[in-house]
Amino acid sequence: MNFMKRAFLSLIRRKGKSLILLVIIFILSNVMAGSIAIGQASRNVEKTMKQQLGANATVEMDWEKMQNWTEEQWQNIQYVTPSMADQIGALPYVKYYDYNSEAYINSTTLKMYDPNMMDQQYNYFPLRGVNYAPVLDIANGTADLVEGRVFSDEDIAKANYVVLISDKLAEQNNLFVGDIVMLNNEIRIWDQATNQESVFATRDIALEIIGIFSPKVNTNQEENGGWIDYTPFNRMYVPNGVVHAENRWMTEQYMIAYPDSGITPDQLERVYINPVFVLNNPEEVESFRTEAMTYLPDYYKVNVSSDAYDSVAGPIKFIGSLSNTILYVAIGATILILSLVVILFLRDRKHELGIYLSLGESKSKVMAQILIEVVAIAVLGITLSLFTGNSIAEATSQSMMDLRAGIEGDGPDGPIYRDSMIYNPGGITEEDVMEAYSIEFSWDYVLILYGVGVGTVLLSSIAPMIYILRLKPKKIMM
Amino acid sequence: MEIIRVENLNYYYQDGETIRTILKDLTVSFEKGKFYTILGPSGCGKTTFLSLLAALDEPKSGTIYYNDKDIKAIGYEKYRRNMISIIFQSYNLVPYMTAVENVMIPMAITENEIPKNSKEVAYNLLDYIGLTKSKANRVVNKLSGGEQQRVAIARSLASNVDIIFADEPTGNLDQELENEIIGVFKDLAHHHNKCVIMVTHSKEIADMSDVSYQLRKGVLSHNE
Ligand SMILES: Nc1ncnc2c1ncn2[C@@H]1O[C@H](COP(=O)(O)OP(=O)(O)O)[C@@H](O)[C@H]1O
Ligand SMILES: [Mg+2]
Repeated sequence: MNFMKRAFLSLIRRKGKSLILLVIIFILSNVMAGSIAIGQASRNVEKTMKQQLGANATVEMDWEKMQNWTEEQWQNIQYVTPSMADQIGALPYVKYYDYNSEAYINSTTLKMYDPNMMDQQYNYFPLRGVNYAPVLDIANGTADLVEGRVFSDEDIAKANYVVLISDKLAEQNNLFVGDIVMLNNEIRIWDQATNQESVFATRDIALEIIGIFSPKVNTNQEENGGWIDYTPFNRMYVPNGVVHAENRWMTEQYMIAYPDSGITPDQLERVYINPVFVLNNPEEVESFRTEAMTYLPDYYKVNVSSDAYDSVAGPIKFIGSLSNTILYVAIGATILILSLVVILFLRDRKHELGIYLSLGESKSKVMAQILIEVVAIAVLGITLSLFTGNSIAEATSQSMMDLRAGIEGDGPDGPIYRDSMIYNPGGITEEDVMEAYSIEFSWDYVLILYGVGVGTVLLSSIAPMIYILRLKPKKIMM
Repeated sequence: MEIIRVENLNYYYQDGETIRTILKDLTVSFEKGKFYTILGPSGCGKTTFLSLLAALDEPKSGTIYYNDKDIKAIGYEKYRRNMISIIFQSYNLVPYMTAVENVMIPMAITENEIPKNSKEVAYNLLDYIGLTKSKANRVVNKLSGGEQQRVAIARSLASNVDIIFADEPTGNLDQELENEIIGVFKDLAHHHNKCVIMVTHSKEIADMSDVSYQLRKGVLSHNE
């Protein structure tokens, strides 16, 4: 009849008391289970949505911080340099990155792809400079390579005049892999006397097509709110050095055309870049942000595609934090109620405990017996609440969201449009987020509930254990 | 052979300012194989004395030796676990356990050697004390007062100790049962070489013991 057997006997022989304790723990555990399930679901939504949005970071100037700038500050403004991008790109959070420089260059031979547009006078194509040979958009899945190849390291290093164009552009202009694309880099100036624009300088660029890609763009008018951006179809990917060389040529011509412009030779060497960093894990965004900022002037900020989640996650965040609060309240209430109930039950059993102590049983074993009894009932109660708590979470999630709607009115609706410069697939809406929300019966949920539940019960046992420590068998027995 | 020796034992209760002396420089010793009684009127301090002998409380001064070893050095818990048993006036059984389960409790607590077939031993002890097997399997709060005290006595034998303390164990029982229990105590002392120390306010019981002391004004004197 050791303390474990005694605990077992007590549990089965004192059925009424065991049942009361079970019911109390079951009820409290349901509240905990419900709030844990809701908390989990809202964390899961965040995780999946952020995974879906991808973790593509860009840096840009933070205009808010520059509002009260002096003339001098404006003159000394620093741009993001390739070496800054290299330093940030070397952080462990970064999977790969690209300087992502841009140039807009006209073509007199090619026609841009835009089904809605009439013939245009100019066809300025966006050239994207690539220094990540596999091409970010293709590696990211924002575009597929349908023919030919991506860049080789040599293409990048030597700034070869090679290009990747979209399937639609190729089709429209009857181009194939191996063909040469002709562009005309030109400087146009405005003659104030005649009030006419004229070409000051021009040079031909011949680019060999090495690959054809297909951008993933939703061309459904309705889903895009009646507006489609055809830029991805007209974008040309070229080695970074090509963009640099063409930009440099343009600046040179500009200096000749306007000798008084004040452009200095070191500005000539400046490389304008718009770096994109693809992170390994959306959950590391904040660490990346902090560490990246150490390499940047403090008037820059780091934007991450997954930030978009935060702007539409209102309802989920609300129920997430509400469920958290409920969980803490439930834990507190459980500790209070269980402590009192168990002590009350122990007072009833004072004589029994006194018997064990007078027989020379150690207080630690008496405490162990009581702990086993309470934890055994708790595990049963928690196990039962695993299932009911999940249903409670399902049932209450909607009313919690309604509650928020009542408090705050509707959140921002409609799709969130983002800068097409940022690499990410399509906008997400509040509806997308709500759809992704689902209460799940997962291992995580089970483990967290057992952990929190048993932990709470153990905390509730502190006061009863102190009660046992203070028992004096002589007073009880004689 | 002396098994318990008490030297210069002092005890008092303090209620605010007032101090009530219960035991005054009490010195006495007890041997195995004898049935002792300590006689005294209600309130004279018999229970207090027994609680000190049983290490349920600590004397204000003085020492209790078990086989020449200070019980404090042995450790009160260990002393209670392995060297003594107590029979209380109000049986003090675990109400939701059967008689035989109650008897088995100390068997799991003591470090003394207990036969492997502990349940059988428990039945035998109950049988020795006069409780049939069917009653032994009954939950104790469905037994009469006399039967419950028999269970308590059987329990005191279960841990196989040399010393048994009893605090007015027959106070709530009728004459016939009282005689029977005194018979058991005598048997335990004389035939099983136990040291049985029983506290009582009854002169008749005291007369049946081997050695009888009178507790008066905090000291023990031989009772003739
Ligand atoms: N915890 C206590 N505090 C104060 N006085 C007590 C306490 N316990 C017992 N007493 C008093 O000490 C005296 C001796 O008590 P006790 O040993 O129980 O006597 P007996 O067992 O001989 O009847 C009594 O007068 C009793 O009122
Ligand atoms: Mg008494």
